[in-house]
Amino acid sequence: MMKVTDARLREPFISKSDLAFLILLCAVTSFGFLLIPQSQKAPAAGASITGSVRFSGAAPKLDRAKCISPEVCGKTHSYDRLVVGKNGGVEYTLVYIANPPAGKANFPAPTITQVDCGYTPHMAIASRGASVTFVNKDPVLHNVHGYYFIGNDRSTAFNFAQPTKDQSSDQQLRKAGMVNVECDAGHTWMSSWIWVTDNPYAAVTKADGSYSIDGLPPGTYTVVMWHEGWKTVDTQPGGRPVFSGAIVEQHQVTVPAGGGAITDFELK
Amino acid sequence: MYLQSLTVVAALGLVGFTIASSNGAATLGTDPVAMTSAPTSNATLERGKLMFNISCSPCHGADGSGNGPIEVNLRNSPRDLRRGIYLNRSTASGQLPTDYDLYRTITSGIHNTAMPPFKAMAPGDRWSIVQYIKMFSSRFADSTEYPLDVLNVGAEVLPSPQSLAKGRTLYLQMQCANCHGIRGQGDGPAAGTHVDDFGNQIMPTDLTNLSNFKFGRSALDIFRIFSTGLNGTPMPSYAQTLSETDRWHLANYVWSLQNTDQYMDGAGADSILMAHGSK
Amino acid sequence: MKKLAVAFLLVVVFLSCLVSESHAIPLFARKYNTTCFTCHTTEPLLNEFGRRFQANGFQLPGTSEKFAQADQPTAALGILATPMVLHTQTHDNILDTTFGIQNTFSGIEVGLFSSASLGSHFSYFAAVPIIIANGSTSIEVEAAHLIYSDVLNDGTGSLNFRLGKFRIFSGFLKNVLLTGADPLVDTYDPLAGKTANDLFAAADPTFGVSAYGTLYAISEGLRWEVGATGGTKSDIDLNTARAVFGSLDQTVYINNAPMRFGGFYYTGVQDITDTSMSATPWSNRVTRAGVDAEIYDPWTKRFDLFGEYSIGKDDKVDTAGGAYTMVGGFAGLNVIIVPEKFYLYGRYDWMNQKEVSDNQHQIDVGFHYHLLPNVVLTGVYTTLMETQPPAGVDKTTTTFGAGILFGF
Repeated sequence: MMKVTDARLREPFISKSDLAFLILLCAVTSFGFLLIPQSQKAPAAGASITGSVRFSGAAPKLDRAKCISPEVCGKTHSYDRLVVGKNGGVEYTLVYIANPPAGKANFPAPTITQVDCGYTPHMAIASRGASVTFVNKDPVLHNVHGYYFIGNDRSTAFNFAQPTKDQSSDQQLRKAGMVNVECDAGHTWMSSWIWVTDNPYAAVTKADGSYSIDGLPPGTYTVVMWHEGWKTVDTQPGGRPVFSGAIVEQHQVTVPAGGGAITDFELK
Repeated sequence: MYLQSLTVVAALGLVGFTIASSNGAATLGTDPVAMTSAPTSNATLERGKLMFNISCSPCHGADGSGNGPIEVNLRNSPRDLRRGIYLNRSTASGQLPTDYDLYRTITSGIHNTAMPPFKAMAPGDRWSIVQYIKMFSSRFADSTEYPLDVLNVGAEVLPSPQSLAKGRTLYLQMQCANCHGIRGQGDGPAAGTHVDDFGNQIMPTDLTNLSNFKFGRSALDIFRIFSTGLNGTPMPSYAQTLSETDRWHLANYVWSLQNTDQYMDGAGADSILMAHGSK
Repeated sequence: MKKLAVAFLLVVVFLSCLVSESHAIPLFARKYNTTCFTCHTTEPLLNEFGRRFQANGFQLPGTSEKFAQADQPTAALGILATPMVLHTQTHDNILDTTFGIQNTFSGIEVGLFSSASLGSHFSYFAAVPIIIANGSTSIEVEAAHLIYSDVLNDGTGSLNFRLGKFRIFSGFLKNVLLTGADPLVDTYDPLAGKTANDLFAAADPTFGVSAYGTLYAISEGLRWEVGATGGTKSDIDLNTARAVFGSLDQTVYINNAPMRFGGFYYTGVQDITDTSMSATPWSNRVTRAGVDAEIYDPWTKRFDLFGEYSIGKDDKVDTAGGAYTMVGGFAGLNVIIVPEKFYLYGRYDWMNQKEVSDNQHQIDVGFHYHLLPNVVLTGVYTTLMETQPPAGVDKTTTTFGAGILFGF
């Protein structure tokens, strides 16, 4: 019988130092996993609340504002506060759970674009603490002026200028709540909304008016629909219209074990 | 070799952890003094309340609402301190002022308004008033407002014909004329459409009139306003749009508008430098 | 008349050339780099902040001269000019005749004001009117006094001293009322016609020393003064004329509208000389006392209602025994029509001098229109009804006037 004399063959399959290194690696990785908050792990399979927001009746004619940059935006521009699709579906309406279960918001950071003197998307959802990116695609000055609401007062949350086409800026959103973004550069109709939230249970209706809030364990929930309103009630100093307050509707919805729930809203 | 791999893994882990826990990059610096809303002593607040009631309540009201006894006869309403909205700051757009910003406003007053400079008040009393004022708005105690991102001034650029010319170009490129007008007289096409956070109509400033520079007339004061924006008004921040050097050029140009006929063609460079103003 | 009108217009044009919006601000506004309306409703009427400023030794409330910064102007000079044209006539109600019809140019009264810091705690204030009328010029020193402020170093102005010539702090100083004609109780002078060491007409400046201030530690809105005076002449002999006085004033706030009430008391002796009555002077004891109040309506804060009631006693006006007693007062209303622009005022005065049955009633109305904060168009209408039955006096004097107040 031949004696094995190859030096390599005499080494163990895994050396002591290798083993030590692997153990250390596992320890570091496990420790790292422990640092990740529970809810960022793959969510437990949950049910969804779905539905739609529809406008009953013919969509009303919306007010238009005079534009100071007609070569870019046209002579007048609609206030864009009510977007009704072919089947009466209302786009850009926020639906959220007022009494949410545990869960951390992990919405992708939104990008809001200024194009043809309008903000797109008109309604977005952002996780609190994340940054929103604003991009100006128009060859004209827009300033991005965001407001928080405290009661009936609104306070400037941020206000920065984007005079150059293709300019992009980030703005961190530290507080939860509804943020209204406008433009002061003579484009009085420009408006968008950002719902900043700590939990993931919110959605914006699509072009057909449909929405879906996922990952909900069984239970009874208060589902809130929030729409900005479109009726003019007064005129501000400076000529801008004052709109009626937001239209808010609440439905109590029960999600059964093993199933989903549906609730619809109607605007008129 | 294992030691090296270990180091790499540990380093990567540390970097990853830092990225995950940071709040996102701030474009301005961070003020360690204003990092928290730590409470001040009762003695300071008591003194602040006494001095506020003596010196400030005739205009601002003992409740800080801006409806003091003499408010009705003033064209510029005294500030409603309960809203926590301040124009004269060194922090990023939308943020609260630092304690020093409030102290500076009390000390320098606001030009061409009924807010006089209280520089002859004991400094300790002025600081006490600052702490008392912060009690009027819940924003100062809200942890999501902090840390405050404080303006980075960069290297000052002295005015020169070249700087003024560059500033003029920037004024047009940044479309300041949209609101402030082609000559800076506050008559741009968007003028007249604006409302401030208090619901009052607000007009773009006529930059050619000395009286309208409420928070100081020097190039540094103007630089600060571009960079922080004026909270509560439509005046935006240009901190993310222009570099510090460009903002200095623009500030020098706007400063020169106070004496348009003297500086428009860049002449009189020596007198420009002499009259540059205090910081 | 034509000459007067031309002169008036020239004066107006000249003075208006000196005015420019961003540079022409009167004394204190310039010294403290603020607008007129910080302290005044409409000049010279003081608002609440202005009253505190005055009670703090002409320093901003809460501040102290010891912190005066190097970059403050060391001396500030201000000028107030009030050219007016007046039409006056008197109607004798017994004889039913009108006489004394006069159109006059009230003359230019140019008031020079100066105030400056003299170092830690010390400052001064001086007011020197120069009156150019009827071809002659006269200069008076209306006020000139040293102020030692913030004596207790507490920054709240609770104790200040002043020495020199000043007006005492009764509730309504003559020079802070809106008026076409002075209040009757202020101009009451029982010694008119006698050669006397003029001691006291309530609103005139007087030589003396006083301690004054605010007492926030006791009550917010409490102002006080106590002092001693030797009279209105600088050569007065304290053996022949001296008095003490005191005043107290409290403001409370109703819905942030100030309501102020207070009182003053003055008592002293003065020697009177009248050689037609006596070869030697005799001593007269003078007493004046009054209460006053001022209320802003708590809803709009645009209506300023005010009034004063005062009594005066001179126990020996002449050698015949001659005690004189006066009661009188006034009630008035100032209205802010357009803030910083347009104001209306009206006041009713009365005064009754018992021993000679002299009754006077006066109605005074006027307006202020601000062309600029420191350039004010003013118009006045005054009617004075005086009856003195024993002397067969019953007359009404009416005055219309218009003019401009300039302050630099």
